[in-house]
Amino acid sequence: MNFRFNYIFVGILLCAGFLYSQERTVTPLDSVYLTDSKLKEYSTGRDVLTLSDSILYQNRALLTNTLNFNTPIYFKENGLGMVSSPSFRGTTASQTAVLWNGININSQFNGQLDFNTINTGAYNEISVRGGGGSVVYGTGAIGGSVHLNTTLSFEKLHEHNLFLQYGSYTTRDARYTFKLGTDQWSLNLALSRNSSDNDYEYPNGGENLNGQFENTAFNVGLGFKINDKNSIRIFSELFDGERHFSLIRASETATKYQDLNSKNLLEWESSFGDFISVTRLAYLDEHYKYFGNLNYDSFTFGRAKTFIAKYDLSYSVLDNLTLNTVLTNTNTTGEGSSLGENDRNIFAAALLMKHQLASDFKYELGFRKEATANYDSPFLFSVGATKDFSDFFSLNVNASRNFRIPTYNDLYWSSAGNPDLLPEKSLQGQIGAVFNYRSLRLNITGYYNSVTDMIRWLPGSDGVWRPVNEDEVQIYGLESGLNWFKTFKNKHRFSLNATYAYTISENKETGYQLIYVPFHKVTAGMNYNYKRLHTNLQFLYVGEVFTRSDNNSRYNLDPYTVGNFSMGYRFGKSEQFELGGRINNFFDAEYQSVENRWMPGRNFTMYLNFKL
Amino acid sequence: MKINKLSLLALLGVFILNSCSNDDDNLEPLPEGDYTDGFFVTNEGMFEGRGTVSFISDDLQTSDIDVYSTVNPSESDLGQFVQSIFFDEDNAYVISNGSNYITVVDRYTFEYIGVIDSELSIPRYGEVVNGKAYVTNQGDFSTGADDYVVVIDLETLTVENTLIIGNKIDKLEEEDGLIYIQGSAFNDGNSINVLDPTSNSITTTYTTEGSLNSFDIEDGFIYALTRKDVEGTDPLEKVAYLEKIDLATGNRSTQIVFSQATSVAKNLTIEDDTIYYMIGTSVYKIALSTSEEPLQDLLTFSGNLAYGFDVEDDRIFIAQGTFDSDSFVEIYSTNGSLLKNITVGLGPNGFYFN
Repeated sequence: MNFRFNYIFVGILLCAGFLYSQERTVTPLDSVYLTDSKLKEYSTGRDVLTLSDSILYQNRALLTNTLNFNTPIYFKENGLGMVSSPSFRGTTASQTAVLWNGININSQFNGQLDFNTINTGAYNEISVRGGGGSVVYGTGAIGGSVHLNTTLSFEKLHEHNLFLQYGSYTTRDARYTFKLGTDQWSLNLALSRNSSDNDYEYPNGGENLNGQFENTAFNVGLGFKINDKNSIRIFSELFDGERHFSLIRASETATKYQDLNSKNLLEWESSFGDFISVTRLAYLDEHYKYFGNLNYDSFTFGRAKTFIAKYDLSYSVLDNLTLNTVLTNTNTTGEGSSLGENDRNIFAAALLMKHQLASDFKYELGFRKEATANYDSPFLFSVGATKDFSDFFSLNVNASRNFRIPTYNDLYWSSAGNPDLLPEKSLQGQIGAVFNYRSLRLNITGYYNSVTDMIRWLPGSDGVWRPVNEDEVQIYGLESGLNWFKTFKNKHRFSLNATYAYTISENKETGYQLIYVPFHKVTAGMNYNYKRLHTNLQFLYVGEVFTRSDNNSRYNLDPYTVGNFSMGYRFGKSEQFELGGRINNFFDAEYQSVENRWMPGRNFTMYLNFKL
Repeated sequence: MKINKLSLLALLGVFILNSCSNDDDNLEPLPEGDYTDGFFVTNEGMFEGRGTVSFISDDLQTSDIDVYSTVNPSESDLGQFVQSIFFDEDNAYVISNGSNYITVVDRYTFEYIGVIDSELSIPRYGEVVNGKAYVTNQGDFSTGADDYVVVIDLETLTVENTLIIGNKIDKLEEEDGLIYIQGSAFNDGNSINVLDPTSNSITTTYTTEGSLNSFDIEDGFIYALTRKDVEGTDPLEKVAYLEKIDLATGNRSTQIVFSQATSVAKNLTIEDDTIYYMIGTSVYKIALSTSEEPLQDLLTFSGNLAYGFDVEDDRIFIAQGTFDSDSFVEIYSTNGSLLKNITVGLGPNGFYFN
């Protein structure tokens, strides 16, 4: 699929919101540049679900909301905007890797990312890939990976976009982006702010007290082509957030949490002969403060500074055969209350190969091994292939071994950390079928995943909780996506995007389903456009979940269906204004994704989208 | 004259029985309620959930895993982390340390009466003396300087006094009209503060040599289990001590030095002049005066974490620390034989006897 075709393809699908992309070869000549190019180049044998910025505008600014309504990932959210952790394909919260422009940003402290500490307004596109990806993306890519990307356009471009949204519970959401491009320069600037009193009512008569939050994200991408063979790019993000943690009962101790994170990436790409080299330097600063009682000034904190140096060399052996080596050194200095100060250095070497053996068959191979003094690093691999049987039908297969390394908390927590922990390991395989018929696309993927050496904190006989490599989990299930669009008489445009996930994730020893993993999750989004009018319907269904490890159904959380509806109208000569409103949870469903943590009932927002 | 003798005996019997029943009429009526004969188990509950209280009958034949919800289905719940219960004559007071309130219920019917929900900050344990409740509060976890005791008027269910103690505090015990407060929390701290309820002030503070795990008072002496780190061991090992403090003179002596171990003696309780304590999941039983570490344990608990422990009326009670599903308690006789294993709520931590 060449660039030009892809670009038109994007244009068509933008109205549908979704963009499914199997593969895209990126060369320095492309006018839209994505630094996480491995996502496109090394996803043979699997499906990548991409949410464009138009989809991002149809959701709240918090990443949980966007992914919950548009992907098969299940979220456990402690009330709207509060701590939120994913379960991707039945895995635990630290088994989903989150990549910022290709750099792994899962917390050094707990190995997870809180999906409500990401403001989606800072990115142009967000992609989700199911299944293991540790060979390319490192620790945590077991259930799947989530990719937050800033794209750079090297074409004549000057574009402002201001999106303002105001809604119930004094919820403010402002996102501004500025894109400037020439064939030599490209700038992508995004500034977003989201705040809410978040004082919604509970179905049982209570109110969400102390649930207010605010966050600001600033993201910049800058690219410069020095000449035909060399270019330099800089990406930088600053996130500043403060969240109070909501109380279930009014007399509870009020607490809050502050995040101040920065992410910086400098890269130099150079091509010579059949080689392309990319040298990357990254610096991540993760800093949190937790105020455990707002009546006092005291807080606990954690801060980790990570330097990453990466050398990525790809060699086109033949037109249809590419070899790629990636050498990465990651050095982290972390400190925190109860943690002391600890350094860790991880060196990783990966070798990747992809081969288009025939026009309808390609495969890829990947290997990775890490060297570190902190844990025993397993040998990782990935193998994938895609075969097109006809225009109508193709088959994907992929198998991989992946891992999740012990975190700072696991290793160094004072008098509890366990320096002898092994990484969690996952061996998995998947097979997927893709059907294309006119504008209909259906994919069905079946997978099996065996996870061993799961790290779990358990109380010892002395009552002290310590992490141990304890559980083995086997997961299998189905993941499915459906996309369709149709235009009538050039005026009426319909589109439909849906996902379904069926997940069995069971403790191998007991046979019980893991808690907070629903058997069923369904999402659906429907769009209808008529001239300047735009409407959107969203549905989310989450099946019953267990909250007790012995699957005692007395404590199960009920299944729920949530629906959102929005309508907008574009004004102006070139339709540069859009004014609209949204009804969230129009069924007024009473639901909670975590025991005792109610989500809001029916509520409203209004928005204005202004393009120049 | 055998018959006459028998009739006389029968006649006598009638008189005796009669007088007995007459006496009964003059006694106060026995408390009535479904939970009169038995004991409660406090269950902390899940982090995101609510704590519960289980009830088990004295004959160990019947139990209710969540008695409060059974009796009061429409009242708000007992709160996050049910920590403990204390009683006065008629009422039970259930402390939630996560939600900072105390739910007041009838101790025999468990019917909801009211709630105390102001001026509490991480409340832990309570005792009633002279009609007032004294409840320890930990406040800011990072320091003991702000730890305080509230004095609660049980007529109005309001806090009438706040006494800052100034060191970490936890359990308390009433003895001869004085309140003895454990001046340590989670083995951090080494004092026992004595509060005089007549003046609402700390009159004496005893210190222990090691950090204080648990204590009990018997015959004018404090018996305390304490521990010290053994430097240079990895994993860190500790030594436990049984310390004894004379309430009259304040003199402190070390009665037993236990052997060095990673898992040390904990949960001291005294019943019938016998000291009971645990190491890991084993229960030990020694006479009050013993100065030798026992060679043999009394019993080994079948769970992997003894989270709640008590001895009462010739029975030993142990609760399993399970925090991801409903848990169980085991009841043993004081000679170490298992009487019963009973399912209770999640995270059971203590036993309270009606």
